[in-house]
Amino acid sequence: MPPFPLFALLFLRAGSMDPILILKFLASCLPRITVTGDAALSAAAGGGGGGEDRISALPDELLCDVVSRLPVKDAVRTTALSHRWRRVWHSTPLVLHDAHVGLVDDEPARVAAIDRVFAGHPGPLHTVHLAMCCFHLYQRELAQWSRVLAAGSVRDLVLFRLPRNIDRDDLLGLPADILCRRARAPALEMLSLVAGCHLPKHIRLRSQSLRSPEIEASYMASRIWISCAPELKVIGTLEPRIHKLQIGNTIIQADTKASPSSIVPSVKILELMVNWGVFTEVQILASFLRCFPNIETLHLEYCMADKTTIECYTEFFDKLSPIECVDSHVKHVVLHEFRGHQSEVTFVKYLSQRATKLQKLTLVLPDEMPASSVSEIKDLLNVLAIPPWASKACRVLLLGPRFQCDWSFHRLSDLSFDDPFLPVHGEEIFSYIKAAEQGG
Amino acid sequence: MASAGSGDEKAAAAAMITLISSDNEKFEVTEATATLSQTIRHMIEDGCTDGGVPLPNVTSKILARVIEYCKKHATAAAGEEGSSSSFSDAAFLEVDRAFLEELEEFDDAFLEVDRATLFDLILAANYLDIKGLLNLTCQKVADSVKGKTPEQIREMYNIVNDLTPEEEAEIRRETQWAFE
Repeated sequence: MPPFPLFALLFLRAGSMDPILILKFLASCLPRITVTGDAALSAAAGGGGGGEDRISALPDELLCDVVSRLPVKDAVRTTALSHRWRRVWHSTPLVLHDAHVGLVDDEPARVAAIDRVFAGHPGPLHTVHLAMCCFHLYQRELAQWSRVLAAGSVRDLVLFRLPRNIDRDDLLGLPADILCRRARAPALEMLSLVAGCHLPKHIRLRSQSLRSPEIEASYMASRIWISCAPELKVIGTLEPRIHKLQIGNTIIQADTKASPSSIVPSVKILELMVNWGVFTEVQILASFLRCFPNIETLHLEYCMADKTTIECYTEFFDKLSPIECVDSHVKHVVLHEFRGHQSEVTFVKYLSQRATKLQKLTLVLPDEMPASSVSEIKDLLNVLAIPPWASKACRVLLLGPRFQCDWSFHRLSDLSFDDPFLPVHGEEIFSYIKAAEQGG
Repeated sequence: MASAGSGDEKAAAAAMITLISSDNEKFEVTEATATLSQTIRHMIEDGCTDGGVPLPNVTSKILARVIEYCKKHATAAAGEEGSSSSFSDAAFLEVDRAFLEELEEFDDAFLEVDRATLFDLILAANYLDIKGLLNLTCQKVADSVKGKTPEQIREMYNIVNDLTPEEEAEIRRETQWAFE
């Protein structure tokens, strides 16, 4: 299993939703459990083996493969089959979902069983999903587990629980300690931090192996500090309005100039929330983009805010010093909730004139867009197609609103998707391919 | 396919691979079908498939089943490639969904085999390095074990219990929670 060093940081925008609803929603979005407890009992009908033990004749790696597909309870029971089988579970990277431990109504017994599993399995760990524990009640166990987790190079770790009361300390309910220890585990592929309403104040991503984040969590507005993370490929969703971005020792502000110490060259996919109606946000967008010189896929979502400012965006973009990712790398730009605001349109124009590698520009309409506005946007796109573009050929797509509630942790955390932020959209309303002028 | 031109014949022939089972039966398959097997893919890349690919670990009976699986899934892979560029096209999504369902039905029916065949398929999938088939067959075995006691599993798979009563008691004591 080659390590897939991908690290993603995901935030769910909470807005003004009821925190309980958000948490329930998050619970429903937890990563899909790949090992399922229910089985088709009709399996392998009929003998045909003729009394021969075909299963134990399989090589070790295949027996481990079979055992890795079992819920932990079943997997542990196979150790009682025979001498051969006694070793199999111990040499299979541990897959533990606390939902499979059973003992649903008996939390102390469940915690004790998880304790036994960690104590009995020599590692390595493959998957550990603890979603049912009240972590704050089991500090002693957690301290032990966090040692195991740190040593066991887990590939997939989920810690989650619904709080009994929504008060601040109870909300995440995770000891910072487990996350810090966890952060030193060398094989971390992906960390998804999904906070419902109180985002951690300070999230620091730093690691020698450059995959492991360090997290210090408290609540309030948050600062995201990337101090050394060359394997960081995907970041989203950042909201400049809420998240203060710090790279190395530089806090990224509207007037920050890019320097080698304030860029993260590994990031290829970025999602940002931008309030296109506020000039300072458009300014900071440009600064954020300068921090990620190699972005190939850029998602920008219109985030409405109460105050809007009227500015001359054309002048701003005209005078903008070059942004490396736009000029040389970005291939696909998606503007979510595209409303045709002057600053959005100016940005699209800017892209069309600067982005030499742009292959695809997708505009996704918001819900309930009046037909007249849709046709205005179509006209606008046609006007945009008149002057020559910087790229050789770019497909321009206008899509209907994304399907409701398609935010899915499963999708976001599925590394097999090229782009986790690409939602399932409504129908295609309009498209064309803007090709380079013949003969240059 | 019934082309008269020698050039066309060559192209068609180049895309076909001959697989030879342990009992010396020959199977002509397209390269797309054969390369679902990473083992065969590497052989093709190394240019050592002229005169057929001998598979001394796979009987004709099992190889025929494996090829049946690969044919179906190779078509699926080709379909996916064709539609990936139109991810946003609802019609394509619909087609994909229908196709995936069909594929799932195929897999379910494919697994309706006796236990000996299932283990032969696992070994063949492992030897030929066909990830999808290995997943499918190992999952089938895992599913058959779920929710069963060690006694039931031993009986189902003729596993001989070579643990002493003391050893077994010790294991059960250590893992008591899993038996509750």
